[in-house]
Amino acid sequence: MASYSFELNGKPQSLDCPGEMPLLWALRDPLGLTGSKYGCGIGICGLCTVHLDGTAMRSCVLPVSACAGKSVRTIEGLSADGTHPLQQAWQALNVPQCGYCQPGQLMHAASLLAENPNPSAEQIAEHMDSVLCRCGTYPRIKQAVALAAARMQGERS
Amino acid sequence: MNARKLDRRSFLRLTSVAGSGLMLGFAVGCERSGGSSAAPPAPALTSLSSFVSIDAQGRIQIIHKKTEMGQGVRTLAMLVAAEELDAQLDQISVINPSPSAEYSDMQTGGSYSARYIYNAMRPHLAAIRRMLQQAAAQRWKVPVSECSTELGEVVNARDGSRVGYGELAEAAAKLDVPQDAPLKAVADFRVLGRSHAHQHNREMVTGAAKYGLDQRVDGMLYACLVRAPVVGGTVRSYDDSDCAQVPGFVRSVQISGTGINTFPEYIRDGVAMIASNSWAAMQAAERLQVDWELGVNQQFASSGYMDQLRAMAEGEGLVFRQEGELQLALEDADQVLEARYSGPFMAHAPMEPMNCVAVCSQSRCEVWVPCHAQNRLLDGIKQLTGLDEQAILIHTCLIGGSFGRRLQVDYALEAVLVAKAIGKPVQLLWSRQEDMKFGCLRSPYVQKMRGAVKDGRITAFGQQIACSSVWQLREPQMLVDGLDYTVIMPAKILPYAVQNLRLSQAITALPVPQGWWRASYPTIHHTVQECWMDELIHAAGGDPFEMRLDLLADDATPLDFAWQEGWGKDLIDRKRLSRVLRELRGKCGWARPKAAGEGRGLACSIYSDTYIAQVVELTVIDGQLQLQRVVCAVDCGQVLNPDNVLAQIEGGVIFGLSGALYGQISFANGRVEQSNFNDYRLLTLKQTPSIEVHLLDSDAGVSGVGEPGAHPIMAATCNAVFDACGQRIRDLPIASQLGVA
Repeated sequence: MASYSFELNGKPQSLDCPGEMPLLWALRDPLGLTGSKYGCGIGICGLCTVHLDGTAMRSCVLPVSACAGKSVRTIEGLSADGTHPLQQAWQALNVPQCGYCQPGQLMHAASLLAENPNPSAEQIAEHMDSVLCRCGTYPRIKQAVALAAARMQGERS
Repeated sequence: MNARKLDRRSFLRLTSVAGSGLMLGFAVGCERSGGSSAAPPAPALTSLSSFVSIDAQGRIQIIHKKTEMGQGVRTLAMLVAAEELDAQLDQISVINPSPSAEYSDMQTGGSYSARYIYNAMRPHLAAIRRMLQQAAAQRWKVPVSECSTELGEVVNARDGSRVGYGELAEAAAKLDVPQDAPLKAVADFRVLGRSHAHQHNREMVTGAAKYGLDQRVDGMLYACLVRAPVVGGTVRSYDDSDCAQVPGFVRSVQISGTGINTFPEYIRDGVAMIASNSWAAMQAAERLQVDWELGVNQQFASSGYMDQLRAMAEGEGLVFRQEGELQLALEDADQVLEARYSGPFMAHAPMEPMNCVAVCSQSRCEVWVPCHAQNRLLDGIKQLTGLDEQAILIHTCLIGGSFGRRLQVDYALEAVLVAKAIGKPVQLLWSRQEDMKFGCLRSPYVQKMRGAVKDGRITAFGQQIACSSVWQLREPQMLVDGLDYTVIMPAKILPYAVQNLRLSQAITALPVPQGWWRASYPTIHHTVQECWMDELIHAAGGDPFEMRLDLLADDATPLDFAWQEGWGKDLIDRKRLSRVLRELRGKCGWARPKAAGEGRGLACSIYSDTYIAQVVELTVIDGQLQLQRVVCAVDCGQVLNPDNVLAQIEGGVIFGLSGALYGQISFANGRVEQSNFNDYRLLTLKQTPSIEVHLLDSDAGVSGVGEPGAHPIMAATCNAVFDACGQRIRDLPIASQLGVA
């Protein structure tokens, strides 16, 4: 077992674990951050999405060894106090039903807005197409991403 | 009736009001109308199960038997309490109790919770508000009529002074519970009838929400279970020597299961792999070598049981509704139609896989579980452990979706068995692959449909249902003269006035764990009936709206369809269904011209007093289906939280579309062939059509919306495909016959 060091939600973190352990399980079990969800284990559903050096990654297929020396951000670190524009838009439009997929949806959406602060409806749909939801919150997710983008534009101008 | 007084803790706590006048409010309007849930109807007078406590600070706690899984019942309980108590939302919290004799019938299903919460809780809450008013009246020495309530305080009409509920709670608890406390008039509502976001949204968007899989208990280990791949299979021997190389692996332990017919659940034989983290348990499970005795079901395969159902569909069946003379009408017709419809097993695939944390010793058992059939679980634990109720504690966790899956409690009983075997707290996790392979599936079906058209009118409608029965498999005592009412009722309530009807049932019990799937049989029968109506209407040269309305025109009295004895009846109001259809026709643009390849399909259904009609618009171009738009009209009676109703219908539509397009679990060599979301596909965001939901103003009582959104949508989609390209989809899923964009 090796020791791995990385930045986790802005703070230094080290962890002794097998290097091939997926980051998802390292976060959830030894590190106790259960916001990232297990859904499929093979990188299809997107519920486990985190940011690795700012890029959205599926942590269920991302070995801890690949995170060494890098910066990991999870839903718990998306904002200090739950006020990221996406988190606000999600609440304003009453997006969650069971809510289990929403951490992944939010982290995936955040990576879009970081790259493209003013996405078109088509770009939102294209980007968000790869995270699954079983309750059927897709229509509201689309609207909430657009709302968050619009509010962020408003803040900038 | 007596109030239970917990004066020591300055609590007002009212418990059972069985047999009192208060219970009339519960009995009226709550007659169980069957539906998907497997429990018998609540007797008219049972102990009221939503208990309330108010502490000295004015914090109001609702102890709630209904379980939150995304359908908004926790928020709804808060809204109803805030309304009827005249309290502020932020002073109210909701918890689920552990099931017991006091908190019995804990089961959430059948699109029944909204009606239950509204009708059962309000009289109770009204009595509490009255007692708070009386306590204030005593304090101020004024008549009760001069004590009004407002936002958690009683207000003195004489001088405008106010006192909070918390300050009055102790005095109120000493009063007799009034039998005649008036319910608030709907016209005075300030909370209900307006949209409110879920109270849990913030914790859900910050990752703070704790689902079953997020539960952690001191000293907890993690487990995976390597299960018999075939129903009835057993462990001959196993070898875990390779598992020791997995860092974190602790030990393995063999688990003896139950039989497929065992009540309450089938538990597979298997070997539990225990580890210090989830991933290590999964890795160890992959390395375990098991020599299985596969048993009698190792040849079980889709081709075999679908042939069996096809043969059953051709037989006579047990008739459960007959009017006129089907055979004569067929002989006398201008056109006779006949067709077979079929559909496969389907899985629930909620995003949170099955899981449960358990601690179990000789003397007690405690579980933390995402479950909404808590009394079923309690019974199962009692049976497996021999413990009595007082020694069993069940903590209900937030649920990451269920759609009926967690009405079966197999996964929780497995965790109890593992915890008992190792004598330590343990979290059992199902992988997604296991969730697909070992689910409790919706039945497959074959239906033989017959019909006749004469002089441009539909004169005959015949339906022979062949499917697998959840009850016959494990609760055969629930059948009445061979009829499974959960199977037949969704078909029996066919609302159309066709003169010659013959509806019949042929059931079997396939050796597969089965369960309720966002209502199960309604999703089957409403699909087949509404597709068949479309075929008959097309043959008669009619318009799908006009001809349905014509067949619903005789609407003076509601139709009355009885369940088995003691289960009440379903009332079908043709007037309400006609109104929903007219509303939808006005909103959906039915008459707009269509381009080549564009199609529109209509279907409607009734479930548990909710009336819904849907139009699907899609295109089929070069054999590729693309969804465009769904328009829904819904009459679910009095609407309590409109935005949540919209969300539930939207969700139901998307759930039903996933099923119609892709839903298929198949078997070969006794094993499920699908394994994950790559081969059990869900609709994705980009594929999702625009969805419009129109709620009708209605005088009817509250009815549920959790399931109905998923019911007409499959038929509406198939009917739209026919409209677009002339191809009838009679065998689901659609993707087996058409490309899907």
